[in-house]
Amino acid sequence: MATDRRASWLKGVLDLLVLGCLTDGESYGYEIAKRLDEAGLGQIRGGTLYPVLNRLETAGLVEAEYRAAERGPGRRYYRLTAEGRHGLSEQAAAWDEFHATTRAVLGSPTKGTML
Amino acid sequence: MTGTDHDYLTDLARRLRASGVPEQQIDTTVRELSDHLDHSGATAEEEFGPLAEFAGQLGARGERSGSAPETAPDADAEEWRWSADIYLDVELLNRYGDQGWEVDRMDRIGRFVARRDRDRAMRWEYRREVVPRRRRNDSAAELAPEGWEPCGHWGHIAYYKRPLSVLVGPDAEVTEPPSGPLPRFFLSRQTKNMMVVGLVGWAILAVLYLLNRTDTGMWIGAAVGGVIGGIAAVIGVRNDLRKRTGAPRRAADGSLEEGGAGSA
Repeated sequence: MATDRRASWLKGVLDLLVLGCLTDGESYGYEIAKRLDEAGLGQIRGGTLYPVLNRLETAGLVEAEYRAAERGPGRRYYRLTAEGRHGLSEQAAAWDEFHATTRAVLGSPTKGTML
Repeated sequence: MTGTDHDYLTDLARRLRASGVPEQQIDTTVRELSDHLDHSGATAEEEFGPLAEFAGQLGARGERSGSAPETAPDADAEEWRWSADIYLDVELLNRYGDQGWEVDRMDRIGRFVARRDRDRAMRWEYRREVVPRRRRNDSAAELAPEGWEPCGHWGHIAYYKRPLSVLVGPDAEVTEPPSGPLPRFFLSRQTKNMMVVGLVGWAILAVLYLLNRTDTGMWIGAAVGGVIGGIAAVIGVRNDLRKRTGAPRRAADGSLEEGGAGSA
């Protein structure tokens, strides 16, 4: 049950997290997944991550470029567009508002035990 | 399936539930294991090992898949189990991967367990590597930066998959996935030829046995010939296995180049 709920939360916010990973500059799929894993969000597999990246690219929130490397594998690099940066800022604010509302209803853990 | 096996699977479901594995996933797992036991004739303990250990492995896998919401198969997703010999596996994996089939794992009898959600299918590509068991994790870690993930192993043969979006982005989506029915078993010409050679060899031995069963020298010769033939066959298969490892060769638009299912 706890796993299901956490998965639902992540599903709802994964596109924002991916956009968030690009605020410091361009990145590629493996690096984005690694960063999310290191942040404690768990291992995001390719079958989950790439559909999100594709949707963001189709919506014009990110742009991508495949670059062949002289040594090692070629990679598809993603970067935020101006529209993506604006969307992220707007949606992050909406998320903060939602979080604050949820937090207010749930109350602090101490308050919860007193009810 | 015996009463003991039934108790094993019931207790397994209880443990998975306690580990937080989703109910739908538990139902599917228990049904698959039950089907497997019916076919194999072995007991649950013999086939899957000690209950606590097996439940721990499956529970950990369930937890991991739970952290990746969209990888869980949709209720409407199609499932297809199939197998092929080493001369066809990579070519067919890539052919059907292009039609949106994602191999989730290999089952205990060596079949690829593939899934496809027709509403949001995307192209997958596959590669095969020959990796000793102890190096399997190292190999997966080396390939991960290129987007490859393990999707099954059989002895020393390890299979890896990655979404073609790694290379071509949204162009990897499959807009109109072709429909089945699909075959479940593929045998290459090479394997059929080897089977014919094997049958002919046994037939010759049977005839020789009927004609002259007391000639010791002939039987020693046959034994030496058999050993040499066996060694040659093992070396041949090993060499064939090492061919077609690595990533498939693809054109800029992501299409497979001719003979590009893997590099020699």
